[in-house]
Amino acid sequence: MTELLRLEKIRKTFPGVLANDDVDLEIRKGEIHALLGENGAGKTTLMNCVYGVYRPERGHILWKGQPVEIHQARDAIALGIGMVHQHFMLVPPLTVAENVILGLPSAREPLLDLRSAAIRLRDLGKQYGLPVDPGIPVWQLPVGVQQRVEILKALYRNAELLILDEPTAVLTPGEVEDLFKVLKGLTQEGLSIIFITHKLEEVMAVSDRVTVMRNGRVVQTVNAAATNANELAKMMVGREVFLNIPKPALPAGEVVLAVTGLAAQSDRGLPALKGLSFEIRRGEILGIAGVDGNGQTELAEALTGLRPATGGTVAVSGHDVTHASPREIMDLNVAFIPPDRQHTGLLLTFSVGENLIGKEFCRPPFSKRGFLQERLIRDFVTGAIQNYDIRTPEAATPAKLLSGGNQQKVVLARELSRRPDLLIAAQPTRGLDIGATEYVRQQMVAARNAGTAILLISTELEEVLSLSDRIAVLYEGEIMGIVPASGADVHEIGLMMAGAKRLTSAAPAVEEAA
Amino acid sequence: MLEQIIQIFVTVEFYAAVIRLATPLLLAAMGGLLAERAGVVTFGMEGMMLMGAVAGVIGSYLTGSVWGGLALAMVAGIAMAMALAFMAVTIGANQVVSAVALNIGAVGLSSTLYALVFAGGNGDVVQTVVKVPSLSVFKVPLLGDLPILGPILFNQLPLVYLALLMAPVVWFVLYRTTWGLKIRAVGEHPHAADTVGINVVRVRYLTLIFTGIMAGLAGAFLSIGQLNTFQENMSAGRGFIAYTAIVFGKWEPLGVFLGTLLFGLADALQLRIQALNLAIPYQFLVAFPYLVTLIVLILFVGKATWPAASGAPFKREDK
Amino acid sequence: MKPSTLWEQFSRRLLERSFNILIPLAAILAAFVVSSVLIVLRGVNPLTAYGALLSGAFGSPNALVTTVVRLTPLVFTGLAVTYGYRSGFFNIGAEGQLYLGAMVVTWIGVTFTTWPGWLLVPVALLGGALVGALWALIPGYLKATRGFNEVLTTLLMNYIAMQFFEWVIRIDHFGTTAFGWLGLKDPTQPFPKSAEIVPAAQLPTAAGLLTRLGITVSTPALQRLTLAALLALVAAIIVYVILFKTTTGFRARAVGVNPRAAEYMGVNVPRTILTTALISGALAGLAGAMEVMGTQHRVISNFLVGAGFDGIPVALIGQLHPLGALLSALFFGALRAGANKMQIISGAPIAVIYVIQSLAILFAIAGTTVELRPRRRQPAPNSGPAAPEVDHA
Repeated sequence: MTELLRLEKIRKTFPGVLANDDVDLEIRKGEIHALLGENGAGKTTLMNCVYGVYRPERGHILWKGQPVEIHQARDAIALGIGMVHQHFMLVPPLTVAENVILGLPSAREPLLDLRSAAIRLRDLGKQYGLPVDPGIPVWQLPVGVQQRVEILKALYRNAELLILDEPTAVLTPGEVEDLFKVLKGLTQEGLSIIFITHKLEEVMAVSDRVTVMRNGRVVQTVNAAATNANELAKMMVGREVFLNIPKPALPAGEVVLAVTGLAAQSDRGLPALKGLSFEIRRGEILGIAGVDGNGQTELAEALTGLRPATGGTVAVSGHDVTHASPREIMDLNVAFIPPDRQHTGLLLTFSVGENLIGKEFCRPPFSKRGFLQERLIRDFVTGAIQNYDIRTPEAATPAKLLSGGNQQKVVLARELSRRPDLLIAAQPTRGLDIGATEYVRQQMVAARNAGTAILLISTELEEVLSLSDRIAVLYEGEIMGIVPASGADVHEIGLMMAGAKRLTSAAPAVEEAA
Repeated sequence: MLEQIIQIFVTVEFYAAVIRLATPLLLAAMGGLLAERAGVVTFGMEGMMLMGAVAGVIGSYLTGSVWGGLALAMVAGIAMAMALAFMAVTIGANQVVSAVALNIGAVGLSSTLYALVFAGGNGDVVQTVVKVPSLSVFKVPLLGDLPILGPILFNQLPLVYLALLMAPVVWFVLYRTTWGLKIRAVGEHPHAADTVGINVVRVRYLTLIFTGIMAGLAGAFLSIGQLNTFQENMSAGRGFIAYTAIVFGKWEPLGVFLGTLLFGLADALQLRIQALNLAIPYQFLVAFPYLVTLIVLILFVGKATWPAASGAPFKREDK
Repeated sequence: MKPSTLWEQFSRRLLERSFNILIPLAAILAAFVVSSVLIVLRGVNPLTAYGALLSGAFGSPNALVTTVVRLTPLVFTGLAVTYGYRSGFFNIGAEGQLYLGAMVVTWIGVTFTTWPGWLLVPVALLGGALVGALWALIPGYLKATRGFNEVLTTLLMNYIAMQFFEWVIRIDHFGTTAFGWLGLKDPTQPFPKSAEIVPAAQLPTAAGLLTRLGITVSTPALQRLTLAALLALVAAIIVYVILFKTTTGFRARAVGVNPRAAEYMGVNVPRTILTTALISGALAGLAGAMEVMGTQHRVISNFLVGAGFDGIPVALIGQLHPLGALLSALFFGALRAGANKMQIISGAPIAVIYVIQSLAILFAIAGTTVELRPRRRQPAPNSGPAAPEVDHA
């Protein structure tokens, strides 16, 4: 068992954060090694140190037994290390071939040599089971194929070690299986693979060894065969994790949200929602399961007035809001947690206080004849900070200085403090550590118990399963089926997520008469 | 009156003038295009042109040769471009704002330098218009004798030939060379470029140097190519028009080329109409090219989409 | 993070405020130092030059009033740019809006010769503000409805507005040529300038006011100090109140920080952009109005060239704060007021002040950018050069 990569006592700090604390790691040739940990455990930082994106303050990196200095990506690539980042590093308007040869010297400098690149790409694709058309612009490719391009990029540069950062986040369960097959094939050809993930099942399914990280330190490295999911979970979190928050059964209330035949287009003008129909009642959580990119964003935006509906109807508490503005919908006591708190959820340079009143600032009592009522606002803000346990030095602190969890609390406070009738929550726990995640889920269940109807859109199937009363599966803009959450068959849901099974009849797109 | 205007379009000389008037725009716009594709906002071309104009005159005067003037103009353009590069790329300041600041500085600096060299230390405004060696027309052998195309394309000042060549050259560099690939990647997704080992900062600096050279030459064309002297603020917004041409052409060499021609056409037209002494007020004519540009922008260009990384400083994110 | 004590809050705020003033001050100082190189090249002692500059700006009541007169239009254009920026609307068209404002005010002032002052002054001011607002509305509308980048549109509209002005000022006012009703040129003389606006349209002077109160004054300077200066101060305060104490300003700032997030919060983004364009344009129009009604009492070819563009550096050095714009305009006004004296006494060319200005802006921008760590702002798809990060309230 030859050693390929060894990390010794790696230490990397950022302002205020010790991301990697004396980390040791050893990767062998031909193995699939999972790097497991929660969000913020330091896994990506560690790999970025290996790939040259960051430089550790202390520690050594040994490649094939020799100490090496990796100062930039080019050094890592030269050694034979390739990395597929969580957010793809592909230039959308360029073709596959152009993306792959980017940064490499051409045989006919300075002219581009796309022809031989295309030939080599086809050969590599055949050899490793990753077929791709070299001439297509990357933006036209589906996400799973884009990932293939990223892997080919590394193979093209003769990678011996391939690092994959959360590769399955954007794949259907079926695509995940394909990826695992490819990875096993790669190891048979002699490559080693480091696989960063926070999903336990994947670790058990494909890796040879697992290194668990927590709070910047390595907890333990074990053989996958010698452990199980529960043990790994405990190592990841350091305590027992209660995934299921108890929900009392509630009597069926009246319908709060009624969606019929909803259709909408994506930013590119293609149909993104193709005739969705569902309803949500008071005091229930309807979870929308599905792989990212199947219409979740468009659904949330269409329901909140941020995206025009091209067909169908949406009614909130009996009022038709199909073509209403975001303001009008909000005034019907609808709350919205956007999926990206940093870009669309908060105004980062505004203070915590200003963000907290971000929706209510123009209504009484905060506004009187156009003027902001400062004392009333201050009282409200102080109360909200206390009630939601928002950790901030003061209300005037800019929101960008808060941690992810506290930022999300600001969003929650802003949305929930008026006891909404309907809450649309998109990816509410994305990027949060386990403490913040538990908090957000508790708040949502509490709102549900108090009578709020909740639409939960999440790409984390486990979250949808544990929080929802009913589950709808979204695939390519259609609802494949709606099932009760208790006793749900995960396998069946997985099939629906991949479009391989359908419980509802396909609704024809209702085109609106102009 | 309409007849007289139509008559203008029939002369060969008119089209030669169109090319000539479009040249400074074409030089600057082609120079700026590469930097723009690399994600830098080249709003500062106005200042580069102005400094190139004054440097052209000063260099020509000091060395007694036009080529000295052109060389100094390039140096001046590079210097301004480096100032912009430092502000925008290294410091990461807002690119439009930095460009505006530099443009204002160029107005003052160019006048001051001109006064320094030509006014001889007595603080007065330069009284006489100084004549310096300037560019002379170069007729291309053989091609220059062609009917129609000859006078239009092949009987011009040398810088005109350079400008015309730049369009296909820039296209070729952008789409057929490794440099062009790097430039495009840096402008659309600098992080991706960074992860494959491309030095984003260096690409931006180098493209800005090219912008400085070309904009400097464009300015020199105005001073020693056409007017034979320097006037305060002589670029008169042409640097901004060159920037507009880049947007108008949607950052494609061919489109940018057409954009500069459009403005050159409108400019040549309004000058000819002025000479006709028709009833149209002179100010309308001067405003005409700007109006045409605005209307064409609104009607045909629509919402422009800048290169994805345009205007944003590149920083390795410390997550 | 634990909640901070009141003392910590107070000292932190004090530190921030001082930084806001320190950076521009340091930038200005650095600019003076670097520019002295140019002065030395002319064979002049920089200290003599700067001494003359200061004397010309502050050295006598006359100088002080000149400084105030020079800074007044800059306050308005600085406010126009400040308000626009804060809302993400980069108003480069202040120049054109200013010219149009001056034109309308002059036209009212030479046409309605029989109206009383209490009617004429407000009507003229309103006219100037209105035309500036309308001229900015076009780029504002294009941005709000079609996402057109306002940098280009406002820039091009400048040239159009200025040429329109140059044309109008050569047509005899109510003369016999076509468009005589539009013309502004004084028919009694050949130069491209208008007649003086009637005294009723002119802003009251300090000397005039004091005389009305029974106090006789002998300082000639007070005859040049007009209500315009007070109005500039009032305007700055009003803009401050709007930006930070009203819902309109809240919306404007939210859109300026992140239009998408503002939309998610229920703000009507297109309507906010329109409102911003109107307010910004109105302020720029008022700049022209102030200059005509307060100082020059007429328009002339090339009359206030550059003041619109100068609004940008004024706003930037003022740290994009309305009250900062006041102080920043003071700096610029002082430069202009003192430049003549500097050239006469020391021989340093006037153009040096442009270099000082430019360096001051560059240093100020650099200082502000380095001090704040820019957060990633996600433009999608990119619709043009973004307005700068705005942070301070």
